[in-house]
Amino acid sequence: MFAAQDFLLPLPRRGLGLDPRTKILLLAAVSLVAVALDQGRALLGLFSLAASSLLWIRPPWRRLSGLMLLLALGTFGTMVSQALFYNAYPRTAWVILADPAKSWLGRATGGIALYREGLAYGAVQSLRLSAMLAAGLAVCWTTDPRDLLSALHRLRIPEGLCFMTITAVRFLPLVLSEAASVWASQRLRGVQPFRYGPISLLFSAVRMLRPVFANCVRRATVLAASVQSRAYDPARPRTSLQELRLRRVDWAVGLSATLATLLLLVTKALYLLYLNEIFYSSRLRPLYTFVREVL
Amino acid sequence: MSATTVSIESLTYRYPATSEPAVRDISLEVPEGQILLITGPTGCGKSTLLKCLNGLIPHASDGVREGFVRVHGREVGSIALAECARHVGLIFQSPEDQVFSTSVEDEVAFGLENLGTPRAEMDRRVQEALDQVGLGRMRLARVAELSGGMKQRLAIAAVLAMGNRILLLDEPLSQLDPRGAQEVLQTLRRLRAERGMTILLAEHRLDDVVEFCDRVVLIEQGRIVLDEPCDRAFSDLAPYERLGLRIPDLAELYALCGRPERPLSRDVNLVLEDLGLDPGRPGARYGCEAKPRDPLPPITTLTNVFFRYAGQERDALSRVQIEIYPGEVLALMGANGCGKSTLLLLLAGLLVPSAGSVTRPGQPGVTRRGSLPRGHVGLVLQNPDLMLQAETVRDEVAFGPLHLGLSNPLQRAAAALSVMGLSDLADRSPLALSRGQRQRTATASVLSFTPPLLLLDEPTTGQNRAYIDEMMNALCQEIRGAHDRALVFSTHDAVTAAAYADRVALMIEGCIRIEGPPGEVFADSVTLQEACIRAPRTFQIALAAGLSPCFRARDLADRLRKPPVSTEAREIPAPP
Repeated sequence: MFAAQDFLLPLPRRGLGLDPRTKILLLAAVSLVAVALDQGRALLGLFSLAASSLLWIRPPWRRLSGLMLLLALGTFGTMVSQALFYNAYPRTAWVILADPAKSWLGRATGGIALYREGLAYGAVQSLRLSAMLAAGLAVCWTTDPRDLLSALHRLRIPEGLCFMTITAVRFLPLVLSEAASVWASQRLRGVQPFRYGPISLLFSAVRMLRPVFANCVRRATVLAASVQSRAYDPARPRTSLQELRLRRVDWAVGLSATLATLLLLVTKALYLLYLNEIFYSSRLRPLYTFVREVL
Repeated sequence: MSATTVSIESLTYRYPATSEPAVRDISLEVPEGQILLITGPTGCGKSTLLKCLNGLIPHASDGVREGFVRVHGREVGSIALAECARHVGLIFQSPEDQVFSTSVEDEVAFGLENLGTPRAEMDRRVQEALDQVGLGRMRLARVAELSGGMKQRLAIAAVLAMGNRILLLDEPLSQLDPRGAQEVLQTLRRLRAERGMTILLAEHRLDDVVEFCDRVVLIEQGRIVLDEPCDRAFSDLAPYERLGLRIPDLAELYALCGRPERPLSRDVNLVLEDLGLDPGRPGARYGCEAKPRDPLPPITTLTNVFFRYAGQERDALSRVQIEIYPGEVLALMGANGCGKSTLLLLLAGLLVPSAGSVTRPGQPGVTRRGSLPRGHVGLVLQNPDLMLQAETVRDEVAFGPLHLGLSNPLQRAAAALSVMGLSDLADRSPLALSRGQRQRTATASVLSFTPPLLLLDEPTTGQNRAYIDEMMNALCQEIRGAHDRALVFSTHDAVTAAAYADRVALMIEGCIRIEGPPGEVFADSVTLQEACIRAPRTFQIALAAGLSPCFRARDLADRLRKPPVSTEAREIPAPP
């Protein structure tokens, strides 16, 4: 009914044609690197890399605009929440929302402000999430869920976990579409979610969840019955129609990504050992400087 | 017909945390190669019976089962579920919910992969199964590219590939248009003829399926109340009437005319002969003209409307031009994907035309983005469950008036509940109601704020005849009595459209190809065929006999009882 339905589904014939296992490895590498990096510029570089891979597969504009909306909302939410609840020191109040000397709310809470350091910390966090989201979508948009399932099996991920992951990828678009229908139906019945600001938006969202969840439960029941009646049993070994084959390009990309990630992790580990006064070598001083300023 | 394939003996099953059994004391034997129709009202136990046959009950359910269910002589409870899956395949109502993969061949291979089939054999069996359901050339297609009928055939292929000889189908036609339904039924008939498959079909669209079946089993509150071959199944129509099921038109017509036989399909000329009618003049159409309309301005006008979804290469709607008048009931008909739902969303203001305009008196800006006509339009979604979010039925129905700031929301809710016959259920949770009651609750929830334009998206899907009649009667009475409101509904059900609509708009590939009074639209057999819609059989008979339009067997039988003179007097000469 609504366009959200195909947001996660693969695009026809896009990408390098990498084996899904290689893509999962790349995704894992991006996630590890995103967690390991601390500096905003380095994270921005990682995000740019992930976003470039997305742009390279030439997704339609409506998917890109959807992604941009998600990123913008995520970044805004993370930065504002971190700025609001930042409790480390030093911290500099950037905007004072409730002054402890002037308002009862300020007196009651000890003051509410947006902190500059919190904003910066939120930006770093949102870059981490954005890089992972972009890389994850690049995998989703270039890989059929069934190929992902086969790849997860070959990587010896537990069957139950594989199945849950793939089911989510397959059915999340339908759930989004239903949520859009519920939203539209409620608006026609007079709900104005933005009328009284964030609070009414929150109430509208909660009200929307009930029918969406009820339908999810119903669909999950049908799907479970359907796969069980086709002999699906997580405890039994399965075969696969699609043969997964690692080509030279898979080996090259996979090894490069693994080596680069390992190198980064070792570098960061050496720096942490130095910081915690466990291991220090004067020959590594340029490396310590590089990690502190760049990574 | 030969050996018994399925044998059920004194089967009773009760779901956990319920006091009443869903099926009780069922005994049934199904020979190999038989197509058995299991019918009954919603919630009577049809689906439970099918789950008992393929082993989901007892293997994947914690309820209490008594009695025996044997498939090919083996008790289902004593063999593993995976083993059951090799013998019995179960197809569900919604293709969207059961199709797991995104490509056709992967979907068919899923069961074989679960059985650990070697790749080479799997490859062969996938192709064989797809060939059997007529999808051999679609092997590499994406599931999203298939129509509803194709998806349901894909689901059949997915179980056929596993080597099943018994096929169970749980209301497989309820979400399909007539073309999709015919595709599935023809496939089933071919599978029986070529592979000798045993097929058990749970369905309440009797008129569509019964001529494809050998035997009918009627279930009421979990018990079998009738088990007869098809030619004797309609000797007594009382049980079907009591349960609110739609009786096949011909069988009902013959019964009402006092004929002893109960044909399920018969050539129209033979029917005329049987009923002692003379064929009318070809092309004679009378009583088809539009009813005179009050000279009131339209509630909504669509002028040369085009609409295209983002990223699509084809217009979902093109050159749509229609006016909707107060007091009018308009039916939108056409195959799946012809643009009915898109048109409803446009009318609701949820979509904005790519070109053209949607105007309403006093609301000139409805074509502008973001100008939602709150309170002016009520939309009942095809899946009513997506509209139910309150704790009680009363709260649900009062929700609209409350949020629109109307006066006396509770009184309005009470009035809407009364119209929909739900007053007694006002304090119940909407999610605890039956399918028909939930549909009526969703309808009452928009009726309560008295929108000038009421839109229903496929209100007949998965509903018993009785539910449909109850709801449509109440709505039409409400709309026609008000003179300032209109009802637009989309449907594949020709009988409902003919019986309740003042006007039918037939859509083909995003265009309204023909619109007018039902009698006029259903008489255009060429356009009907193109739109994959079948005119009600009663109407075809009336048309062939040169009588004025009749859409229900009861109306035609009444007409036939009248003296012939009065009938002829109303005849309008055929156009030259």
